[in-house]
Amino acid sequence: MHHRSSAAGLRHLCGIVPQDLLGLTHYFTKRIQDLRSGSRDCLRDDHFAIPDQFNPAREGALTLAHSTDNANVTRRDFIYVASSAATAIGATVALWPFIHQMNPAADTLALKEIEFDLAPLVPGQIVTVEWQKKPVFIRRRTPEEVKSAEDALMSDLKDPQADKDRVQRPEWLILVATCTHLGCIPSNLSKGDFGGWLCPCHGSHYDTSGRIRKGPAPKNLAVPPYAFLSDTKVLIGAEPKPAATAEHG
Amino acid sequence: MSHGDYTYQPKNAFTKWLDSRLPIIRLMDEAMLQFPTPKNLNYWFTFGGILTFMLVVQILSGVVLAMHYVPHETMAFDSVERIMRDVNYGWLLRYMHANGASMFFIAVYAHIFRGLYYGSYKAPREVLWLLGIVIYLLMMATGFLGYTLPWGQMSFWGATVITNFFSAIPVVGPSITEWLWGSFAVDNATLQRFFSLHYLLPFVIAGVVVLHIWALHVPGNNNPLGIDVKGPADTVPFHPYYTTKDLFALVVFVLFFSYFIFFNPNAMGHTDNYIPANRLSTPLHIVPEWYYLPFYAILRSVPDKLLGVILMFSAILVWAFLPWLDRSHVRSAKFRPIYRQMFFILIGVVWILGMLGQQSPDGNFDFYGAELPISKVILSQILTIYYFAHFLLLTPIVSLREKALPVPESISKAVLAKKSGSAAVPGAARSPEKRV
Ligand code: HEM
Ligand code: FES
Repeated sequence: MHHRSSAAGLRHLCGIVPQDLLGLTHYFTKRIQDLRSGSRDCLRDDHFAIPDQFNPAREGALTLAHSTDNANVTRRDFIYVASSAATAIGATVALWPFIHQMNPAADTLALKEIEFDLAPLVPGQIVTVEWQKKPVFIRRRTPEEVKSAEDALMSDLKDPQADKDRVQRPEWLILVATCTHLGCIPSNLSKGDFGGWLCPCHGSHYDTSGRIRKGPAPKNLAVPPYAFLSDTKVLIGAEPKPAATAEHG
Repeated sequence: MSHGDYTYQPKNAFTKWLDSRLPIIRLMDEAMLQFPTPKNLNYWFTFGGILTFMLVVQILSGVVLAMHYVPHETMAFDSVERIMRDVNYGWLLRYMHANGASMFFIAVYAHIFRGLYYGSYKAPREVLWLLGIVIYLLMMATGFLGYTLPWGQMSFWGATVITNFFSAIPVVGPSITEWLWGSFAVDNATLQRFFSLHYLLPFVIAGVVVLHIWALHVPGNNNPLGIDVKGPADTVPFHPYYTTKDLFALVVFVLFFSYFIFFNPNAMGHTDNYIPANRLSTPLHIVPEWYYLPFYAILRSVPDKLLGVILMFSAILVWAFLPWLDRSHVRSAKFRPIYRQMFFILIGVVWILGMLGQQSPDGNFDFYGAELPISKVILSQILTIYYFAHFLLLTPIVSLREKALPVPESISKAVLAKKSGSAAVPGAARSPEKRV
């Protein structure tokens, strides 16, 4: 192992490939000194070489404990670089709990399910219920509404998805009622140009499948996980039972 | 910039003792009393002092409101109502704070447009200008966070719309919004963190204000003529000349502020915010606080979500490039006939964008009751394009092409020429600083 000669080949890279921790420390100390002194002369020989007293290949090499004041790399330099590195890494690691505490807490995450009785809804009716702090639409669609949702051409859709992929039973449309633009609740009263919903905030129009058709919203209204418990009971938040999806899958 | 030979001399034993240990009186004296200031500053230059005052008002009234306010979704609205009805002088404190925010923004807009008119953003004041933009952004954040606290319908849905801006970021957007909310929607967790940050940010603002004033004191004030101070004849000490002028302006401003507190406290608020937050019903017409309206109109003018959000933020960030976009060496618009017109057109454009932000998004533009034959969407698109063109195209081009009017030789000469034109009071001190 001869540092001088192996370093010579790398001169154009303005540095050496350090071979051990001491070499690394030496390297960074030099770079820092260069930056401080404004020296651009990275070809100076001593930048590439490990000083003799630290070169383990040399006879009489000093150990760390014996570094002297006139050495190029002092023990202080080593401590400086090592402790700065430890501080930087430590600070980065300590940052994470401070960031992560803002994410939803365990109680918020606990997936809550709500059961909803569908029996009172007449065809054409929409109700809004709350699930996971979010509003959810349950809409009992009329046959015409189902037909218009199913007949829509994929090429007309901004976020193409077939109606059958958005419902488990065509009569029941269940959607997260959060406009995919900036989060308002689209209005049940003004149904917009496509018979679905019109968002009052910035004018996004959704169709009878809750798909975005016009306006600034980029995506269809989301479909939450749900399962039919019976013909008149639905559990929102539950993963759909295979049987329930098989019906239309 | 030193003013004559004057330096601070501690007068008694205590100030002498203190001066050799913590020269704080010296610092104050040099920065606030003795500080040489161009002698031609007009009232547009008093808004800095007014802004400092308003920051203090907001912090004081806020800290006492926080003694009664409860940051919890089930209690926040009621605690604000309790402040209004039961807490001694609670109504006054809350109206001071709520209207104080509006006054703060009126002052900051006057201050910013003053800078645009007199070219205060140009060398050597670029850092001063950039720090000002930082303060403005922090104010926007603080005002938004505060508006969420009463937990009314506008609070809740305003917070929903604004936090959703971040959901426009590709890929990580939705995770970022959930991180901001601490939930799957605006929630109690959101309210509590907003309160914590609303308490914190004004103190961060105070810190940046110190930097802002520091950056002011290196080159010194700009002035209505936009020319450099050439010597002591051009300046007067800050005290008593500008302390008096600033105080007078402040009194007038406080009268204006008081009108709103005492006679029209809800003029700048929104009635829907007196309805408790309801996560199952969005108000039919959501509007932000008036000070965000032009930017809100820019957001709505774009049919694409991501682009809308980007343009809205860029509308402020573009100011940061102004010192380098404007190549003209003449600072004050007084001597820049074309830029001067552009300046007034820009004010008109921002004003109309503000009106558009206030109105519901569809239909034709309603200009103070008169329906104009142009759709709001188209108009806001035209004005948004003009807004950006003003900064990115017109400003650089005009600054290179325009032929500026001759600039006076010195502040002192210009002031004296003006004074001798009018009936000068015999014996009036023309250079008051020479009496020192
Ligand atoms: C930059 C300075 C500040 C600005 C622009 C500001 C702005 C606002 C605004 C717009 C509101 C809503 C007022 C309403 O409609 O009721 C508010 C509320 C509030 N702010 Fe501040 N604020 C500032 C500083 C502070 C500070 C330093 C505190 C200290 C804790 C504070 C505490 C509160 C509290 C407790 C409320 C809720 C009570 C209420 O709604 O009136 N604010 N703030
Ligand atoms: S939030 Fe629905 S259109 Fe903007």
